[in-house]
Amino acid sequence: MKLCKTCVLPSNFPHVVFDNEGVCSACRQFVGKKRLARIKAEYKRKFERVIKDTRSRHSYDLLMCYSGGKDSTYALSLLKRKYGLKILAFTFDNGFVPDRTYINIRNVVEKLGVDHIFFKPRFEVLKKIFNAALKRNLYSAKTLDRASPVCTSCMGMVKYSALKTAIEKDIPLIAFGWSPGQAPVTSSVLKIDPKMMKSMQAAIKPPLSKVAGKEIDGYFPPDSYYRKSANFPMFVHPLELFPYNEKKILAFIKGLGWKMPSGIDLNATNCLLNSLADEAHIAKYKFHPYAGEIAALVREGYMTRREGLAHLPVKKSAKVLSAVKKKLGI
Amino acid sequence: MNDAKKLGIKDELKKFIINNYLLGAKNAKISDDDSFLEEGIIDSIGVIELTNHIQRTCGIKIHVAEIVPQNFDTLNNLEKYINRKLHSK
Ligand SMILES: [Zn+2]
Repeated sequence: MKLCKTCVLPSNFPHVVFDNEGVCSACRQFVGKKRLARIKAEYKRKFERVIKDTRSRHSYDLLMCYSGGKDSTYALSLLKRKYGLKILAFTFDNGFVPDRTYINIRNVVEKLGVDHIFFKPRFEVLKKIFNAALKRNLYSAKTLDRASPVCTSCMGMVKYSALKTAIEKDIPLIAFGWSPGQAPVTSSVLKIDPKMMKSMQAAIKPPLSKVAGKEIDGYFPPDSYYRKSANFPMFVHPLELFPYNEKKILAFIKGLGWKMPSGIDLNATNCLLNSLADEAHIAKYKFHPYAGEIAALVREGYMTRREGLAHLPVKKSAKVLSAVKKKLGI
Repeated sequence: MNDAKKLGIKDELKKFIINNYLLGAKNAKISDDDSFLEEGIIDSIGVIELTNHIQRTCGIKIHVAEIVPQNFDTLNNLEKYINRKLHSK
């Protein structure tokens, strides 16, 4: 297996071919940094227009999906301090939140002055889901390019439980702290038709139901929530519309009382399950689940190739791994 | 519009969806009236990728309000929608 000479994509990455010069098709098709900067500027204007139009009309302007990791911490501070939004931070606790992350969350929300809620699904339900997702892909093949089936399961539950909460609390915007490379920039400001959103739920809810039955129904908005199209929340992930530099972000959030938890890796600074999920993904599909995301960061100039490569070995702590396996009954 | 012109819109989209979303599935195939939303083939990021792909290959501008199941749910509906857009250009 070889790696792209420009980014860090491996030659066995799905949907990617290499040319004679050892450069991957994703790099060859890349629109270029200049054009990308123009697209980002256009979406930043859209984002600021949306903020202007929705601000101060509801008890909260925005629900922030706040994992407590480095990126969502930075995004939260940006939305609060730069835009002065009234924010409800929402943390989905998947049972593998490091102890230090709880302290980080408390420090950050207190320092920034935002309201915060935890949503912690019953662990017996999550345990069934994670065990199934460690063994096989529950979702469409394409999701493997972006994340391990374990992460896709969690993200799906985060997204829809956040949507449910936002609808119930009449919050017009839902934000994610995705770094550049995690989602297309054209999805950074997204108004989705409620009927479409309901249909798209089919990509995630039925596979989860197959594993955990009706237990997961409470994590998704009931059908009636999709019938009203007025005030249906919009989705934003603003981080990639701003300069993004991992080292600077880590230094900045230190000032908010955020410290790196031990036993985790840089790709997911908020989840103890991540290393095990990465390992299972690599064993099965032979490429790192973060390869696509890291390759995009390198390609788009947010990271040097050397920094990108440093993200790809699975950094695992034997102690964490065995505690995680024990909790999952493996 | 290269492939879209050579293959016809529907076949080009079929190729895109099979290559990108059904890869690895045994006997990957999709009929013109299969709902790729209800079948869970395409998720929210997938819809955005599909939208970008159509805009690029067919040279049309898709408005977010048009991303609705009536237009995006099956190959037949997508083809009708794209043709409507092409003719109104
Ligand atoms: Zn490359």
